Amino acid sequence: MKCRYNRVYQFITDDVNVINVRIRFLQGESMKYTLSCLCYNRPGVLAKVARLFSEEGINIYSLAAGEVEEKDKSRITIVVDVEKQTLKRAEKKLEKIEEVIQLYDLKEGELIARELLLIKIRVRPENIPQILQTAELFNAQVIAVSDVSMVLTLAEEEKRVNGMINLFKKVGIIEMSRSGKLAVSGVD
Amino acid sequence: MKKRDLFDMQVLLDSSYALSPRPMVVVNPYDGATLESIFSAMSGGVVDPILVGKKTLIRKSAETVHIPLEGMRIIPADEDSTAVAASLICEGKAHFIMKGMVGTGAFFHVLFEPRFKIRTQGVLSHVGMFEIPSTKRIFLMSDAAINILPNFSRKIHIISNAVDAAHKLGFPQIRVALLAAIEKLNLPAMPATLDAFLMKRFAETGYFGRCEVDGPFAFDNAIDPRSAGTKGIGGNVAGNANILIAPNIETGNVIWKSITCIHGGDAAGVVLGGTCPIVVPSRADNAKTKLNSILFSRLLLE
Repeated sequence: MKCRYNRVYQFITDDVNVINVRIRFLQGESMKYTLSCLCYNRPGVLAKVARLFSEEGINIYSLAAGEVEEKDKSRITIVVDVEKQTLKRAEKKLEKIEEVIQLYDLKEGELIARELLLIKIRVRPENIPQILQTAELFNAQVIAVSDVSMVLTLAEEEKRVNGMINLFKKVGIIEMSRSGKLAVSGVD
Repeated sequence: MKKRDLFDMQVLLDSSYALSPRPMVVVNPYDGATLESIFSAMSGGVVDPILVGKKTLIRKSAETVHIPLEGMRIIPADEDSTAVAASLICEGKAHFIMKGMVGTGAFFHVLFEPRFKIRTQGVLSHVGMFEIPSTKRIFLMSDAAINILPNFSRKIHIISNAVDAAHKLGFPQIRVALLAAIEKLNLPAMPATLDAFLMKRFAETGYFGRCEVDGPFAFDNAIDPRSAGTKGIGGNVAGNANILIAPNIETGNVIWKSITCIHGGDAAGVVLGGTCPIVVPSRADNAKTKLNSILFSRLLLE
């Protein structure tokens, strides 16, 4: 029964989220979009893409770039917080960049996305159980430890990465680095 | 608690004969070894046994092994024998409980129904006692039977249960070794080394009370000062541990069975973490091991 209620609750919350997104879209408010840009791996491509967004006054929320399965090509995954009209304009300009092969506007629900987090936290004896419980909750891995600090890694959805960071704020974050969203389109 | 002789396990267990008898309830005592152990414990004045189960089966089993049932109270019960026994604990009419011929899973399932109030906030763990003659030391070890792959939080409870038992037994110095395969951190391949490293640090909070906690240790370096010395492993616990904490049930069970089967040593075991000690012997255990477990549990009631 509990499971069924959870599922019903999930449907309701999903619907509410979709409605909220539509309202924001109709009101012309800015929203987060994930763009996946397949391009040739040549010097200056990233600078061109970044400059284009800068010219349009678009703030890049996160950006991750890396080689794809073909050696001479790269994928740049960009998350931007922008109005739809401005995004359309930027997309048209992006497609005109010589090195850009294809541009995908990945919609939530149609993409598989993860973010990689490396986080170094302060270790105090009294906080150790809490740290390990949090790591276990999020399925984070401890990859280095000393008497005073610990480094954990997590590859998860952005929401969960944010959730773990928030919990570790109470413990004491010494240093952290996150990759930005990495995404591929969903399976057929 | 009086400091007891901690070089000889039998001397320690036999010290329970000097204590006043406590009521012990036994669920389905249909096998000879269980009845023999109960009879010995009763004869020694350690327990006042209450046998719960099918009366005809109890009588038949007792006749087979020639155990007189005088002095033992029998409460007839069929399928609900564990529930009857648990209610005796709940009402304070019995002070600890022993499992006879009943499945372990079904036994615990009934025992921990909230109405009996035997389960606490703590975590249940099996604490075993054995001795290794060459070390001239008695060891407590956990967990060989209950917790399969305990996480850090569970290990805190497991250590607490074992340390509490050591205090009750009168161990003058409690040295807890967290077992692994090596003494150095190896991440992520050996998570037991991480837990041990952090547990040592956590013990600095004083959570476990009067004891020393250290690790990770390979088994030999935990129990043998020469091995620890040869490898240059420092600290008071290295080579001198008297509580061994296994990282998982496989390790714990293999150590436990190695001691009892290959080494042929005497052993005793009890499940702690509830409101009373729970004697859960293996069906293959002989009468001596079952008796030892009863005596061990009786000592923990002090």
